[in-house]
Amino acid sequence: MTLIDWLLILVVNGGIVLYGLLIFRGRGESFDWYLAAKSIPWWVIGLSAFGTAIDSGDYVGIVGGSYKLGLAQLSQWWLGIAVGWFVLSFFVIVPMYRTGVFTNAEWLEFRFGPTARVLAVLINIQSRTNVLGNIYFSMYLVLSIVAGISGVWSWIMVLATATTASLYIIRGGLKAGVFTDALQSTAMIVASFVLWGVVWVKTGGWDGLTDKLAGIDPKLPDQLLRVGGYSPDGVSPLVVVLGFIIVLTTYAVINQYEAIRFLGARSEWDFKMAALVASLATAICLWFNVSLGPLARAHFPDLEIVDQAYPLMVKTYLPPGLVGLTVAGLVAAAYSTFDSIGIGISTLFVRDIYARFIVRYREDAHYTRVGQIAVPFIIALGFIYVPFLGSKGMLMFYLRLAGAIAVPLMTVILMGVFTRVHRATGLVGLVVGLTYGMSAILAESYEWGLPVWYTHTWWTYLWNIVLPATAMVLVSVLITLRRGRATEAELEGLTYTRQSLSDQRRHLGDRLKVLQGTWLQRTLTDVQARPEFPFSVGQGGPPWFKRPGIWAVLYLCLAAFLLFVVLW
Amino acid sequence: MAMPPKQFENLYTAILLWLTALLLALANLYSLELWWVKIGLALLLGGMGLVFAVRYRQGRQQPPAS
Repeated sequence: MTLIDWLLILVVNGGIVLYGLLIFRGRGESFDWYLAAKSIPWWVIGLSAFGTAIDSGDYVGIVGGSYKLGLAQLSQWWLGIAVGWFVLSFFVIVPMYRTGVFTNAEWLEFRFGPTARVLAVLINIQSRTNVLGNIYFSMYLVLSIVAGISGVWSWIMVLATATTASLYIIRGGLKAGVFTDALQSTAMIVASFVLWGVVWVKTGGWDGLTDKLAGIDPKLPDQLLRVGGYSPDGVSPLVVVLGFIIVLTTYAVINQYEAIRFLGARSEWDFKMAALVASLATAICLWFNVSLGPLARAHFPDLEIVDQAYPLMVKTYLPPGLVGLTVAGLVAAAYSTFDSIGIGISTLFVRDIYARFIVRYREDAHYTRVGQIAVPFIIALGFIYVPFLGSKGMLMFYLRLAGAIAVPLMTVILMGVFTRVHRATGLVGLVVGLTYGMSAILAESYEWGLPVWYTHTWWTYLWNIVLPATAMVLVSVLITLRRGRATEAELEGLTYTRQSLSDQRRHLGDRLKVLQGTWLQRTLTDVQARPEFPFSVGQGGPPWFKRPGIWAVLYLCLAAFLLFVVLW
Repeated sequence: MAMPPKQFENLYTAILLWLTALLLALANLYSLELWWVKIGLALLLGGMGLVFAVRYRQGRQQPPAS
């Protein structure tokens, strides 16, 4: 890389980091630091949710993944994550927002008890620190391959990026993270477009790509250039696509670091519109990234480490200046996820572990300080995964663990929001799902001889919805037979209802005796209520073009048509 | 007198965009390969910087709110 490339990386990312440090400074209040005082508008939340979802690990890992799996991956980014964001913003987040909780794990305790809360925290920490590991490894690959920097120096630079991201989060909290994410998202989209455009033209467009792939192996165009083209032995393409859709629906539904941006919205309308912005930005950016995989296969057909595909294309096809811009976008993607994981997991740690079980009665500023101190430790945890990210690729490692560990949590959250299952069933769902998931991984790793439909990654996505949900319904029926149905008092404010109920905050703060007099109770009851709309609305509701539901349905229909008709 | 935060944001963003545009344009000194892409992006970023600069200027001309 030339001096000008380095300067571009420094100006774009240093500029955004400095912006985060100079503009945002929390007042030391937890409501301000953790939830940006519920003041964030829809377009900022949407861009931030997108920037958070796509990290530099995704840039490198997705190209590596689609190098092997082809356009099948589009299903998760066009439909899976959009379904997740819409389910989150239209349903799951609604009772959480109205009741004033800061985290989804907090809501889980009210709905399913303290063990569910702790398990949710552990699952979130595992899942997100895994992502941090992916980001570190991808940055290392880019720096060592594109820039030709030695291994040790590449790791030092990765560490420096993680450290500077921690600094502005510690100073400005959620608001600093969300607003810098919006800027970083713009850099990311530009970077994706530049690399894709150059490689696309050099390949000769779609026809050139098809010819090149056919020249390597006549079956490749059919396998890589169709959404339904990838199917391992014993797994139909529909199960693969279903798995891809579930993996990112799970991502959007369970992740505290996504949930926290929606909980920081200035109104319910804002977080619903934000889901649309996030889905659109993701669809555009990820078309470029996913289709770069088959393009890389056409140019470098014999890669042993598939995650090298992205950095190799940057190095081979981009001239000075555009290399810097592309790597700047990649580093921006890393920043936007570092800060999000930092604030998201810090909130979980402080509210759901520290303030709930360790130190419960201190003043508000103490918990903000603990959250700030926790950020660098959380970001450091990601390095644990680096040794495991080898030749199979980051994407496959992530998919394997997510199917086994994260999907059961999504199932339990959805059952809690949409059904009236008993409080005791949450733990049952989690235990059943996690036991099955881990047994599938062990059976595959140690070759226990169990059938593919039990052990394979893609099947675990399906079974980890069916098994926990069935177990929860069965146990709930048994409890109902013994004790009767779950009462209104148990469920009030915790399940989804279309109409806004009376003020739920005090009700929730007083519900659990164990919270009496604690900081958690004070913050629940003191959180200011926010309106349904940020503008005045007549009796008939807002005009059609201001209705998020209409836009969501339009988006989903268009994405499904493109995936299952045009590209299938 | 300290600059209002919104004013500072506008000025800061304009400078950042112009600096990036300048660096992209200067990259042609290293290689003219895809020069039109670099110049196109530089013009786009420069134009966006201009929008923020105009906002900053308008903000300066407005009397401070009492």
